[in-house]
Amino acid sequence: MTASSWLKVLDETIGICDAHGRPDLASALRRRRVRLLDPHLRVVVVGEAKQGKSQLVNALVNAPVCPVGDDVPPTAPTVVQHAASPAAFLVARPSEPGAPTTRTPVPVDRVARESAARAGLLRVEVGVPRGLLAGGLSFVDTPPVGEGGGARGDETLAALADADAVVVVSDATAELSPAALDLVRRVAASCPAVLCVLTKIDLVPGWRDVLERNRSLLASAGLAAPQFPVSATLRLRAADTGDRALNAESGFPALLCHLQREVLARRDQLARHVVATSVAAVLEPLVVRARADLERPRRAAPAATRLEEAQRQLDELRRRSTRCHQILADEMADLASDMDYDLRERTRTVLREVDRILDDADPLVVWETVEDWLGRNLSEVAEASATWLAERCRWIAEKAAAVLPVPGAEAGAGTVSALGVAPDELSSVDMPRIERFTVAQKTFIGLKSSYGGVLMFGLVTSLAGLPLINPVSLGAGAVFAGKSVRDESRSRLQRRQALAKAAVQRHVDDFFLRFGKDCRDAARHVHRALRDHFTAVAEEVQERVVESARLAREAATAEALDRERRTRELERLLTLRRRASALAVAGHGKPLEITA
Amino acid sequence: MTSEMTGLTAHTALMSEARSLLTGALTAYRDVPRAAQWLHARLRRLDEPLRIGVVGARGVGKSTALNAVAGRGLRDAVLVEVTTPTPSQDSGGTGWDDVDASLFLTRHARPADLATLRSAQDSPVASALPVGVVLVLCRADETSAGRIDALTTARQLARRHRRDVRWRALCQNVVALSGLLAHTGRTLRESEFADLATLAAVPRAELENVLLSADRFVGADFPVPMDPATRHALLDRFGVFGLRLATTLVRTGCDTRATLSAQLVRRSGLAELRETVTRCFVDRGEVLRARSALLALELVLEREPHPTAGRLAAELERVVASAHEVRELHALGNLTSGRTALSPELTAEADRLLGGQGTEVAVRLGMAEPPSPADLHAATTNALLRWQRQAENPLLDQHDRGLVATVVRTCEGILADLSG
Repeated sequence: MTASSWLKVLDETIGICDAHGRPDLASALRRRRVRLLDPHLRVVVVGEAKQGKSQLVNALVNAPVCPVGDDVPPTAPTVVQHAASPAAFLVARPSEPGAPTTRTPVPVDRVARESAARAGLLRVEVGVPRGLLAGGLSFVDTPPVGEGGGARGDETLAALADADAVVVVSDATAELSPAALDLVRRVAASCPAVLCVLTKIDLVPGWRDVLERNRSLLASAGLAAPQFPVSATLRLRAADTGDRALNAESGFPALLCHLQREVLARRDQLARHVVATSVAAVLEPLVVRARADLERPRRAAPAATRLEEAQRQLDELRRRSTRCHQILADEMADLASDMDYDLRERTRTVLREVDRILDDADPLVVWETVEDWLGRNLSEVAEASATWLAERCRWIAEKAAAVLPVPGAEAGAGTVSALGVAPDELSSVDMPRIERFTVAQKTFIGLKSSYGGVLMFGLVTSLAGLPLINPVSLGAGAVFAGKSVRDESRSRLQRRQALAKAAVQRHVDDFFLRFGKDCRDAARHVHRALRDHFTAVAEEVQERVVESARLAREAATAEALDRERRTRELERLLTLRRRASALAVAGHGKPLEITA
Repeated sequence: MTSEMTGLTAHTALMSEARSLLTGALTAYRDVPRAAQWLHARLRRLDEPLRIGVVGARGVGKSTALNAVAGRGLRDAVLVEVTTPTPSQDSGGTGWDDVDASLFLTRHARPADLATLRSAQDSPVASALPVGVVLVLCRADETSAGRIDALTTARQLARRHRRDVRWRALCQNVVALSGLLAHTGRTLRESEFADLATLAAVPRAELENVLLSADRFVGADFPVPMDPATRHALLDRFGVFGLRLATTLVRTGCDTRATLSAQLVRRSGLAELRETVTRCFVDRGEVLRARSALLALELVLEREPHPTAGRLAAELERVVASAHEVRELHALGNLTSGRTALSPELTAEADRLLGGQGTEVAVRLGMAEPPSPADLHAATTNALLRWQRQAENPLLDQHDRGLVATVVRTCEGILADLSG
């Protein structure tokens, strides 16, 4: 695997961090990227107070560059790296965030004292000409952890974030404390190359027991950090006297050899480890969030359900609308037939009454009254029918509205009232042409009839000798005349009555025809108005439902697309994570820190 | 004779108050078996010797320190080993509340130790009577990576902690101790001295070479014939630093077992620790025992509410508020550990008046001959006036002002006793 493989994974992760709106993670990774591409390799030394961290760094580079002793522990990290000639700088914390830092040069032999004395330092930079460091190795001595001071902890954390390898220091006078063990655990989570160094082994006769106990402590905590027992005192003395055996005894050659072999020579593998762990750490929250995003729509009302609901509403609306119209049509047909019958029935009653009157009365005498009565009764009939029609229409409107449960449907009843049925002004009944029975006619008929009587009885009495014209025949003639006149006048009366009846009959028929037509028209109008009203109301609702269905459909589509996108995104994250973890085991097929 | 009596009454006042309070509480709590049993034990304890706890985390060297401190000079006191709870354990059953005073052992005096001490003194009574803890920076021989000046550096560290306000509020004194050296010095055997003499006879460069590390000392390549088992035993007894120091001492003139032993004990810091224990704990045993009785009563009142608890609590508060002896003790602790800006003469006088040299009135006033009551009266009045003037000194900080007020109160007390 080449260097570009981890770089690609790293760059891709940075891109993803940016895309997910996590510039904090992206900038942390960018810092790491800069560090990984930096030829310098930082070995950060951490540990609790008074464990010999600074002395360890001093012994590593063989120069008193870090403040040691029993003074106040340092508050700023000291970075020791290669330089052609010895140089040291105190980097002060900027007075305000964002301001440039100030670097104060100090003599190398005084740097330890100066850095211990000064407060408000960001870091101390020391350059010494050492073959060990020339390869790009640098050591960082950090303020002690677990001292409670927030600022110190921050410095150490910042130093750890940039670490390529971490050395956790504990001294041989006691086994690893729970706090130190926890420190190893936390460091191992972010940095693949962790080693534990046991210092001060020159002072403690039983350091091998402590080493063994530490080993089992680390093992039971599931930590695979190699341990290196060292003595800084021996190392420094060996450097003074040039005693190789003593140097070997100090344990430093083994530690340096490990650093050279495992840290310096296997930079690429280390980089892959660093990328693997940091990418995994960065991706974890993103994966968790992506998963949560995917889960969320399942809990909320999804667009698909909303679409289904809209469709169901639409179907229901259509079904009800149809039913409403059907009811309207049926009821209106019923209404027409009922109305016809009802009107006929009412007019019949009127007719029968008129017939009864005209049976007994002479139209000549009562016509005025009859006409008056008839007009009044027909108005009543019309009024009653109109009222009944309106009632019935309202009832129908309500019945139909009940089927259509949309707002505004019941307003149809109002439409009916507004329409109403007003009967036309009735024309007066045509007066039948009735000839009067005049006195001349009576006289003529009387004379005509009396002629027969006179002649008949005159002849009979002439037998008896009487003259043709005699009182008897005259009397008989008079009787005959009277009878004829009476008969004639009765038959005339009957004819008049028949005529009057026929006239009334015609009038009522006219009324029936016209009013019936009016009523049917009114009913049809109502029908039409109601139909229009219901259609309009239903359409309005339907439009709304259709609109919401459209929106729901669009949302569902968008949601499906979004979901697909998220799934793809999660897939991408998971793939990237797999690739990152593949980096960690690639090549050797085993984690790095087990070696040693 | 008057002085004897005065000293006695001054000391036993608090004790008798505590005793009567406990007796009263025992009567009140006789129907609560657990509380009654506990109070009874505490009442009995009042007549027992002072219990000094040697407190520290596991593996810090408690037993070594205890062995070193115990012995002659610690009459009327017993030492008890107490392990401080680690965060994973609960605090029950450590026995720390079962001692009257404690030597708190720590290697580096870290903030975590501060927290531990603070939590042990957070009850109202304990914070009103803040005495009874001496911080011991143990394993002083491991300071400075075992260089020959390790013990000096350790003493400097102790001095710095002593002046630190955070520690000052929590303990009476800070002492550096090398328990290993102290114990070995006290129990130095002739055979060991002979072995050390053999080692000291080795040329210096060669000896330094083998004393570079523990491994080298017990290694195969040794300049003089000496049994590896003997060397292991020596290493166990002295440690690398101890061997370096002892051989240097032998070479520079400690030519007998006794002188070497004395030197080792002196340098180990044991003498200073013992003196501190004697002055701060043993001499004030009664006050400390009374104090822990009051603490115990406070605990009972808090844990077991009782109808009469209110009256008892008020009584307890009154006793605590008027426990001048305890404040005297605290002020004395501050004086002896050098935490004051007073002039040396004033410091010496304050130390004497507060009972640092002895609690009899004559000793307090610095009168060698048995004085007449009139002389005593005059001297006390003089002292009172002098210290009252000091109380108005604007240059004193809060701590010193408190100290001067305590001295003034002591003078008033002596005067009242003399008059009464």
